[in-house]
Amino acid sequence: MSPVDVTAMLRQWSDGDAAAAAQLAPVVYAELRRVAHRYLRHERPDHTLRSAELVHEAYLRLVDLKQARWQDRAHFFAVSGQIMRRILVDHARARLREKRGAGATLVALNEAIDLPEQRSFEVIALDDALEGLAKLDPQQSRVVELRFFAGLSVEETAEALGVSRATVNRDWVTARAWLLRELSRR
Amino acid sequence: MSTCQIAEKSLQPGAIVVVSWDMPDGASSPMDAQEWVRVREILHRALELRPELRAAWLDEACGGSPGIRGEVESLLAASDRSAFLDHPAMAPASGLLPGRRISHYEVVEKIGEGGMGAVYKAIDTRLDRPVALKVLARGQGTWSHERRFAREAKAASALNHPNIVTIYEFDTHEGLDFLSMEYVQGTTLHQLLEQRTLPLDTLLGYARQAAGAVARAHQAGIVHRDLKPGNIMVTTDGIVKVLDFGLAKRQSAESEQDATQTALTMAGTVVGTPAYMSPEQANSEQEDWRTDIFSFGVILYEIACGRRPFEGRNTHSIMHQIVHAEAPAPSQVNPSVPPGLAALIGKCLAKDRAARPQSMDQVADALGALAQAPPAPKPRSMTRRIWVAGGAVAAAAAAGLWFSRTPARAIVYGLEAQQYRDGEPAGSVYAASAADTFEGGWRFRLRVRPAQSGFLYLINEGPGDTGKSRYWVLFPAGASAPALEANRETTTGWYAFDSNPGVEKLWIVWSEHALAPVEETLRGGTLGEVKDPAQADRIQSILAELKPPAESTAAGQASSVQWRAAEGVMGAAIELRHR
Repeated sequence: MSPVDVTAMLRQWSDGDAAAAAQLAPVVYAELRRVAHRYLRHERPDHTLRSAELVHEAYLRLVDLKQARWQDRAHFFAVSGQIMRRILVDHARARLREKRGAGATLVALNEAIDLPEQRSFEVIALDDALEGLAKLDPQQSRVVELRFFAGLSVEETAEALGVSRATVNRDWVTARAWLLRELSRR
Repeated sequence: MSTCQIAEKSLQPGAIVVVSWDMPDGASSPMDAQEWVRVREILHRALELRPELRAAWLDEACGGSPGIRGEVESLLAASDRSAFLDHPAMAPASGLLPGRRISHYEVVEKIGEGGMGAVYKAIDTRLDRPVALKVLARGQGTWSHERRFAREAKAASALNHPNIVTIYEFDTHEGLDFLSMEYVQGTTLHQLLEQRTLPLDTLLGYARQAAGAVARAHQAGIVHRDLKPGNIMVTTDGIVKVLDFGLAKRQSAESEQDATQTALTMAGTVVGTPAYMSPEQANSEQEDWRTDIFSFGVILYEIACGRRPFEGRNTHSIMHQIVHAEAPAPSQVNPSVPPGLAALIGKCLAKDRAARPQSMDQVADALGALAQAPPAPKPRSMTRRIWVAGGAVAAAAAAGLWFSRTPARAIVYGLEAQQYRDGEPAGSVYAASAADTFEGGWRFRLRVRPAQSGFLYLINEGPGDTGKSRYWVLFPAGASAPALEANRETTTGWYAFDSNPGVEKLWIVWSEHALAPVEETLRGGTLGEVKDPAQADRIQSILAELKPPAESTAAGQASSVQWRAAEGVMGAAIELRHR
């Protein structure tokens, strides 16, 4: 799929075409994988891959910047947040399965992601808790998705959700409290 | 607000994900969601308060709802923990992780990031002392980078001066180039300037120390080439340490090749802000020690005026200004800059290096002489006068930065003025000082930075028809006051002052919680005018608490600054009177 196509799909999506979003996700997913692999080959001893870098680079590679509007970037971030969450949760599950000797094949990105065991448990538990929060407060759950899973900054999260930075900060501190309490009860 | 959800449970390679944007569904009962909204609001407000003030807020907000209070309290308890959530899922931190050993150094934490790599606090396990470890980023390990790195180490380790960070060692370990140097605990001048709390003479004292250090380097034939407030540290004892001779080079060893490399560096990819560059650097011309004198002039300008002399939207526009434009005269930006300082800054910023002071020693001496000189008188004709009494404010004004220092009271504010002609701004924004006078046509705005989060209001009080005061809420302009973050500066809009005879007051009111009568006014659609007499009475009673003690007004003093910390409300009044 060429950059123009992705840009056009983002445009259709922001114009209300849900099917465009469905078509877009696998493309973004594949690109995130490619970027991760490329990073792996040029790995530096002092550098570990960050999800925000992945998302940014995938955006630069997929989207025709000459045609893109800022809304396109926001939509791209929004969809990337969900995908990064799935990728990381799947990865964490696979890692823990492997640990138990089930011999499962790791899903994509595994070479590039290095989630330590403790982190894997945390990611899975958070994913669960986040579903509870989404029922109560969908926007807060999206803020956590973008900040924690996609690694986006406050500004980028605000952009992706179309809200102010103050709102993102506010949602983040309250969501954080809710999630930590939830996790401590488990 | 629409929502975005993934329908697919688990994403496998090639799986189709259905993304849809819908209104939130009713999966949870409306009661839950409603309760959550209330809990969320109370919790958020509570998180903004200091822990010791939270109980009082909960008493007020959860009155009669023990369920809600329990909920908020358990959330508050959870929020105090530091947690894995505070770092993104992938890669908790970039760079070297704590505990990593490089040669005989053990990394403690990352403390900064420079053009060439990250800086860590580390422990020298042989000597058992803390060091700052600068590690050259491998990914950028091009020949020129490494060469430059070695040059920095050699150049800087040749310097021995109390105001220059000492270099201990330069080596390579497992393919990582690193430099170990003196670990300095303190704040950068950049941070100090942003805080805007220090008086001018203190800042000039730091500048003088830095000037002496750079003079010493120049005598050793080393040019810093990247002088900026971020490279000047001030220790907790007030000792200045000039950092990062990262671009320094030996003048005598200069070759054709080095000059090319300089141009490459100057392309702006490695060097951060160009705001402190000299015209010759911006032009990629051959430069010498006098480039540091220009950069130093930029720093002095920023100290004196609270802004940089050359500002622009992007690197290119700033560099263009550095080469072609004259900076606004310091006295135009801040009339209380001592003339001697303004003259020194002007000389340092000369485009022609031959017109600058010819040595850093001269600059240091000039700064020393300034420290003795008395403050400048302030000329201005007057039709109207603003008095701002109070020792702290007066001291700050004499120092040239009109920001009152109220360490215990926790709000820093400043008044800025600008002349308007035919509704258009004429001239530059000017930081007003105590006892300044203004002719008609001036407008004013406030910059306020509370040390704690809360709500800010600016209320104008003028004489009303019935002997009672009339109130206007000037700030905020919207339908409600936004909660302000701690230590974040807020700038109000511009206000023209009432030209009716009599006294008017400008109240700066900060509160930990939203003030109900003011909020009602804001929502009332009267553009801030307090029309409802009941609201006016309530506002008056809040302000009355903030009024100065009687003896101070009786003495004929026309203005007052009065702070009251009780019940989470503080205020200051600036009194304006016709003569």
